[in-house]
Amino acid sequence: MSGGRRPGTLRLALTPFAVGTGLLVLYLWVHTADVPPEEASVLSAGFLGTRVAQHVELTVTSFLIAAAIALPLGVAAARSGRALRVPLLLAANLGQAVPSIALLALVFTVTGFTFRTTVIALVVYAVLPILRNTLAGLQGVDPDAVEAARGMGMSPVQVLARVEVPLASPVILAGLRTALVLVVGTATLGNFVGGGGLGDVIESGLTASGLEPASRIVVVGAVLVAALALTADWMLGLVERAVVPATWEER
Amino acid sequence: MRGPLALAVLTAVSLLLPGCGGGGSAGPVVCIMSEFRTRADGVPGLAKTYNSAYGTASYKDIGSTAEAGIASGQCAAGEVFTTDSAIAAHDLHVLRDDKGLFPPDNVGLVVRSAVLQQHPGIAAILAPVAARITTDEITRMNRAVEVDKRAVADVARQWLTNNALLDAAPSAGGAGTARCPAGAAPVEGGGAQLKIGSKAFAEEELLAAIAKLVLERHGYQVDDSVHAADPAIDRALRDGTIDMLWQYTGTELQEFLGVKHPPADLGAAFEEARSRDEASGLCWTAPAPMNDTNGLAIRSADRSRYGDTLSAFGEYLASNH
Repeated sequence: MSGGRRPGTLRLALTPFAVGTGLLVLYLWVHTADVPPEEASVLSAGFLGTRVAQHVELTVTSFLIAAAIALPLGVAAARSGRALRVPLLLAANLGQAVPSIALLALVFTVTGFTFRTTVIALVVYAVLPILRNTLAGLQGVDPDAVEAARGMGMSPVQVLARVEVPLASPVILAGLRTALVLVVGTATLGNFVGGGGLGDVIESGLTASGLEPASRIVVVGAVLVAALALTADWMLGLVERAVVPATWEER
Repeated sequence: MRGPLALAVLTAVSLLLPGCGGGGSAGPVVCIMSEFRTRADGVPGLAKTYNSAYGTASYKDIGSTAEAGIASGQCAAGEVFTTDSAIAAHDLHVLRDDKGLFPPDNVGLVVRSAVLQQHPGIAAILAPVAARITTDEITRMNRAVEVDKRAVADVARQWLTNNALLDAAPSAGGAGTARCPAGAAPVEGGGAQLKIGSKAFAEEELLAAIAKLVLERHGYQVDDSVHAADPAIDRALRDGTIDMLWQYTGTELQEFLGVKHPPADLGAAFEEARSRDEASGLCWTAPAPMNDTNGLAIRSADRSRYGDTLSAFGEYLASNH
């Protein structure tokens, strides 16, 4: 890019501003409204706070486990022949092709109403984008760069760590960001199996009894999920800026 | 290199994670469906009528009633419906509603007024049958379908046969009203076609199958193929897609008629739903004494710890928070 300016700088600055403004508007909207007592129990700071905390916990745990599984697998797949790569991608594809709610129900039959149930389903769901992008990123590395590194006498591990992974990092990080945003959204389904999280808020609003659904609760739940997703994506954006070699971006 | 820094951050985050699984706090976990949290006779009602500890207890939202979770010990207590077969199948105990919080939810056959005026016999044919459907009877039938996996139509037919109800003499127990006639001729259907809807669960399907079998005995042709959940099935009744539906008085009063506190007496609740719906062209006929209401259940073995009643469990929650 011409001015030496890294792409996404404007977006990185705008996201916290947009999320903050959105949350402030939401807060004012709820506070100035006349909230019936039944809804107030859901819209209380205590209830929303624990659900946000649970949601973050579900997301972070699942994402870290998925990354810990999929990154090494991606490297292994890039190194190996088709014999390993094809079944690996097939399995990961399968995990994502099954509807998330069905996946949750399947895991539920084994582990019951636990935090673990939701985490396992989310991990299975998040593996594919990370695995696929890691593989694609490594396959896209310029063979000349690898050759040059070998020629300099680097060991295979050094080539991987100092040449291939840095050059593939934009694609790998894009996969991580996709997976993270996917997990934040899908974690709302934890509501069905006792996983907690912001799905509890949305579902409380959708199924609230009375003549009309409690749309205020649904909006609060949905906005909080969206804010979490944007924040998570923003944080990985920061990591991307720190990790991706500047020369790559500026070339 | 930034690698070590990123690794340190990841390690720190993952060290924080164990031990906070699911945000579970101390005290027994009560499993509910999300709607229970905001319902007037759900958590707010428990806190107000019984013990404020119900308001601050630790609730886990699940997508179904809680029988399996209670039985496996993942929930100390949980939301159930009192006629559910799983209560008996899992050896659970429904905490007694000693202060009458949960409104009665008995059923009646709601028939569109235009249909009933044409076939007033429907009310007379089904009233004596409905009068025999008690909570115990319907729970047993639910169990036959849900636990023993028998076909709905078989269970309904066997119950009707065992109780000699297929040929019970029609009797409406009153003449009804001009808008909702009952007991008047003709009783026999003469091939007239009727559509009965049901919500998509065993109890509703059983009730619809019972009505179908008895009405067919009296010369009607009955289609019971429409299954849908509330409020879609209610809309289907109002717009004439179906002619009749077994509806719950509590559901009708609270969900569709906006009555926050329905009468606690079974008969009074039926009467209130009947008089309110008559104006909108729906006729409540054939009241059944069964009561499929909400309850909190525990394992039968836990009765010594939690007590028998909602009052006792409230005190337990208050002292174990």
